Amino acid sequence: MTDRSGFDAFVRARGPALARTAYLLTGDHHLAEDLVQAALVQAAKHWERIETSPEAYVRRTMYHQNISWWRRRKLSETPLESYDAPVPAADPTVRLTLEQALRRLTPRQRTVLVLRYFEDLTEVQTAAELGISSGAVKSMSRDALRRLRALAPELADLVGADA
Amino acid sequence: MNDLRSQMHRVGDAVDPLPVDDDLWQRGVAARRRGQVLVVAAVLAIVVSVAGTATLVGGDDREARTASGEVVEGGAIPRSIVDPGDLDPEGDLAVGRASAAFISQSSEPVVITAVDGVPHELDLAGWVTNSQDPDEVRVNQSLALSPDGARLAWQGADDEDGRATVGVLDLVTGDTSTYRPLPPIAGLRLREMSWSSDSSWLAWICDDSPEVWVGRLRPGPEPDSQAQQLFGNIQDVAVDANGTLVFSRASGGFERIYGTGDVVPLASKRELGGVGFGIGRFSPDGRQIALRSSLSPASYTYDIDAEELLEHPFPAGTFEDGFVVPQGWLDDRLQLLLVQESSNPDVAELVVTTPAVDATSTWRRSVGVVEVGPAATLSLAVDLVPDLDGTSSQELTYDFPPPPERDISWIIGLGVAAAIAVLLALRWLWRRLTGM
Repeated sequence: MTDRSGFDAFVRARGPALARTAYLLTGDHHLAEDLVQAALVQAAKHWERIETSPEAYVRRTMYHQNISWWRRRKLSETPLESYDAPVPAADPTVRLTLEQALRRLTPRQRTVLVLRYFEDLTEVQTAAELGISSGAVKSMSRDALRRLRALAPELADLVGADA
Repeated sequence: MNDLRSQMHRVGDAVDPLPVDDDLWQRGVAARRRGQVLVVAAVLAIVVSVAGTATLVGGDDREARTASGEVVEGGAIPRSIVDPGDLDPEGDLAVGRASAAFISQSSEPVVITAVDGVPHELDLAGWVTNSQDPDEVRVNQSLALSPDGARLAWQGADDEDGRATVGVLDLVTGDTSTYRPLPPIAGLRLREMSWSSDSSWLAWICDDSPEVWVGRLRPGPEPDSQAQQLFGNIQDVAVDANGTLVFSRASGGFERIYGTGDVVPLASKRELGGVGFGIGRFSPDGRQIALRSSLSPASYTYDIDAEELLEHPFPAGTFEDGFVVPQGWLDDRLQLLLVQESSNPDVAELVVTTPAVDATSTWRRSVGVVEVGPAATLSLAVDLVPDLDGTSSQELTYDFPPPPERDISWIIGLGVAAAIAVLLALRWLWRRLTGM
């Protein structure tokens, strides 16, 4: 199998899974597409070195690019005026879904939650993937859940009252 | 938490497959090639920077100072002579023919090379600048450049007997010769030296209060010298091409010393109009002596054959008065004078003139300007001044461009480029090692 055909086969096989992670990381279809493609370009660039385990490389690239400053700069951020203000639950038209609540977290908080609860990584594994300490992962995870509860009290059952 | 986990999987599973561009592979390959090119460029930038810096640091500073490439075939006297400030003393004394020599404000011997107008501070053996040194009370006062610009004379280190010596440097070859023309008296210090018009003889004068010694030296493979003890206040001395010495007394009048040691009067103060003059420079034919004069409205020359004092008043509209120090003769008719006007004490002007006013006389000012510091001890290679007979297209003096400042902007640019290249290389290395 040539490099090119191996790369194409990898994209075909793992593209949907990468897309799911990218969507949860970004909360936006266009940004997710952008994130996946940027990570795949990096994979193609370094294919000779990573072809034995390309998925780990691509996922790590997505995590880092999602929280890196030059990538965040390109994103269309959610306005911050009511960033931390809870939305009244009585108004059903603005009732937040989990997707919308995730979108209001910081990229770093969202990434930590995706790694912990979607990728099912432990705190130690998450810390290793992001290049930060386990304590930082624990702290960011706690802050992210607290913010989710503040943003959408109706999701308290999902995120746990004691988290 | 299990609910959050299942809800996130539910959200993820609901995502439609994302479109993937077909050219991702080509973009990745292109990015890889760009990275390789970048690394090569970074390495090249570093190599060039290091090599360039090494070349500049190890290069001859003299080359940098003559980077303008401005040279005059055969050499010329600079139109402007100023104190060069602090220079690095040069141990390689073969700097080439010089156009001017003087003692700098920092009491160091300086010559200006004839072809490029660059000042050089020479590391002359036995040159003393620090009179505060308790073991050395001498400060060099005498530095004389020959009219042909090829030799430089100064008082060298005393020999083992404490006897003063005279050093003569061949500026072309860098060879130094040491002579002992002074009497075997410890502590004698040369006050002044001057060369004959043909650069063969050197006249010197030194004080051994209350006596004064004057003498002559013909340096070379068969040196000749003579010293004469005199009494009284002897001002100046000069020697002609035949080795005949003439000195002046402060009380007025000139006297001549023959090779036999006989001292005979040449001109009395009365014959000189009652004015005290100093001896300047002999004309090449030895028939006239350009004189030093204190503040006066003219320059003066003594005609030995005619036993006559010649006067050339400063033309109207030039100097009102001035101190005159002869620098030499261009030929038997034209003399090069250094004139310092009383109203302009900061600079002196070089003037080419004839001894007297007649139908063919000449008086040209602004031939050159000399800062007052160098002017005090200046000696010029007058042979470098072209004749005024119309056969030379060269100006009397040459306006050498100032030494260029070393252009370091490109070094800074290269340094910045190298720093960026190093950072990029480190970033590339980091990403390669960490897989990011």
